[in-house]
Amino acid sequence: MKQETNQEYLLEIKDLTTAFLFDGKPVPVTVNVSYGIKKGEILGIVGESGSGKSVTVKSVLRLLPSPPSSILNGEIYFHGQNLLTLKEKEMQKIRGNKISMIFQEPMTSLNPVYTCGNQITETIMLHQHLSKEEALKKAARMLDLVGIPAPESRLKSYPHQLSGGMRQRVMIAMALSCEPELLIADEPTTALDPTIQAQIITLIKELRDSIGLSVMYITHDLAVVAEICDRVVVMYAGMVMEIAEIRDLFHAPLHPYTQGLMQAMPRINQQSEMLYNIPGMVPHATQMPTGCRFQPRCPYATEVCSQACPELVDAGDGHMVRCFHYEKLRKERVQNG
Amino acid sequence: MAKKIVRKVLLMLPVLFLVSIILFTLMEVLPGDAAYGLGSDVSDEYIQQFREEHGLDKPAYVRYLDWVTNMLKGDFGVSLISGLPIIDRIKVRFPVTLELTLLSMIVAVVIAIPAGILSAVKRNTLPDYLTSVLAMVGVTIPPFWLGMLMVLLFSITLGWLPASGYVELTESVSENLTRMIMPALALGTQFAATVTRQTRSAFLETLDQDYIVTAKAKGLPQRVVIWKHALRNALIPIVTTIGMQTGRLFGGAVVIETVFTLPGIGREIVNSILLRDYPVVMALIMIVAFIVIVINTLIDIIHGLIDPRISQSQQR
Repeated sequence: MKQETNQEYLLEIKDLTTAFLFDGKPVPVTVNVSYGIKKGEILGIVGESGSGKSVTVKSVLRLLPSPPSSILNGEIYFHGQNLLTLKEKEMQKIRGNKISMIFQEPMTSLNPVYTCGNQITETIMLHQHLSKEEALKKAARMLDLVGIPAPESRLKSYPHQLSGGMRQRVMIAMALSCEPELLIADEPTTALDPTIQAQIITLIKELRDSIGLSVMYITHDLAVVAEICDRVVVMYAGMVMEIAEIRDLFHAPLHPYTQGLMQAMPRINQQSEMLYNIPGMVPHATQMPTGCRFQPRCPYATEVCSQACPELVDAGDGHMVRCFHYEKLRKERVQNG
Repeated sequence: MAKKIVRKVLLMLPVLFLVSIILFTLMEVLPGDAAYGLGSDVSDEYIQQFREEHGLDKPAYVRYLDWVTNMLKGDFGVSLISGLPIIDRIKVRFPVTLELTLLSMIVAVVIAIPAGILSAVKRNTLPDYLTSVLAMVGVTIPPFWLGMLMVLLFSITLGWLPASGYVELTESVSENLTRMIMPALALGTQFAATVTRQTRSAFLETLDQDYIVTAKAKGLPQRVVIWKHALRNALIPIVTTIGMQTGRLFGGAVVIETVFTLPGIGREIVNSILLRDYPVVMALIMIVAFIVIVINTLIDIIHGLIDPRISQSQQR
């Protein structure tokens, strides 16, 4: 069977539906998710908690425990190879080597009973078959690269002897130690304070520029997205709602949900008593509304919205949107200047 | 690390001191003394003479000090009944109990930790259910009853193993083991079941941790994730359980030695209590207490070796 993959993409997710067991029955938490990431690109994935961002990227590395999770359909192509059909052994050669991942909680993501050196060299020795001394040298170089002072002595430190920002740097050093092509960053700065957050974001941008890394950056913080991303995927309730270049997304969002997210951002030059918020909550996976999943919270919703789920369509220049009324939004924007 | 170990060992002294006081007081408040053990058909004069001979008429604190200073010199006194030095009896009996408890501990740990891990890794599958049910049965079954059932099956019905008796390890290893295996299993079952359950729950908790996902995301094979990253973290509560259960193991040895007529310390304690041979009772209990304290100190030291966070807090 000939695989139709977009050559432009380093990694392409096609129609991915991942389900979790609720009361013994598999219920899809992401539905037909499709997007791709280009080489050297920083792709933002945004959405509220529970929108399926993490589930999608964890499916890429097949890190979700099964049961309770299962992938009902879809393909994930990496260099033309469908990751979902690989044997576990082959998958292990990709994890940490070609695609690596960093997580939200630097405080708990490192194993507390092993030194940082041990944890970094472990990855290097596993994938690059270097000797212990060579691996240690490389680990020190990696720590230096991510801006950790006195890397040799830090290798002997245990995670509890480091601050949160330092630990996230160690995680990044570990993730990059085998020169992966793709880094998946699952809310890497959410648990850090703003100055450290800015440092980590700068670091990731620098690494992209210096070693041509592709980054999938998951966040719910649009300010971070504006700072770092080239393109953005907006997810809501397990579905992709909009995919756009960063400029288009901020200047001309076509989905009411994206628009809502923008309005909910605090602005320093705008005096108002209350922050805008999108009414309602993300529905639970077992209680999805009919038709468009955003329809109950949408100010533009009409009858058609509750009858059918719109397709993800190209609204021009690769700007993808899943909404019946995106033309209306575009017109309104033009009218309001 | 050496400094920490020395500190831990020194900390044993006040505990031992406390144990000696509690033990001595307990013996004091028991009605009657060794002279009662002589029976009712001896004359009052003889009892009086017996008490003077063995220093039973002296005040309590004098007797306590005598007892402790002699013990520190390695002299546990003489048995009131046989008149022989207690230390000689300890030398004969102690190895039996030590072998019994060590053997049941080893068998238990070798079975329990892998079983617990299997149970946790294969959560909610047949192996997990089987292990959990077996562990539940193991926890509830009384060791002496299990011992008797085993004798019934393996000695009387099948005739595979001798029902009782003891052969020294130095005399014949195989003869020794055929006689020790049933008592060790009977004694170790509850221990194994408890450790299995603890291992399962410790592992389930550890496998849920973020660093396990990190380890998988690094591309490590499942066996490295489990045996390197999960095991060392899960070991902390498991080792604690093993330490706490060891005390119970010595308690259980008393009963098991009686069921299988093994000449160990447990049976000796029971006999000595019945004969009111107080010096023997006190010496033996001090020794058991000493061992339990040593094991707990070892556990503390092992904790420090397993978890760098613990050894660091010990340093302060």
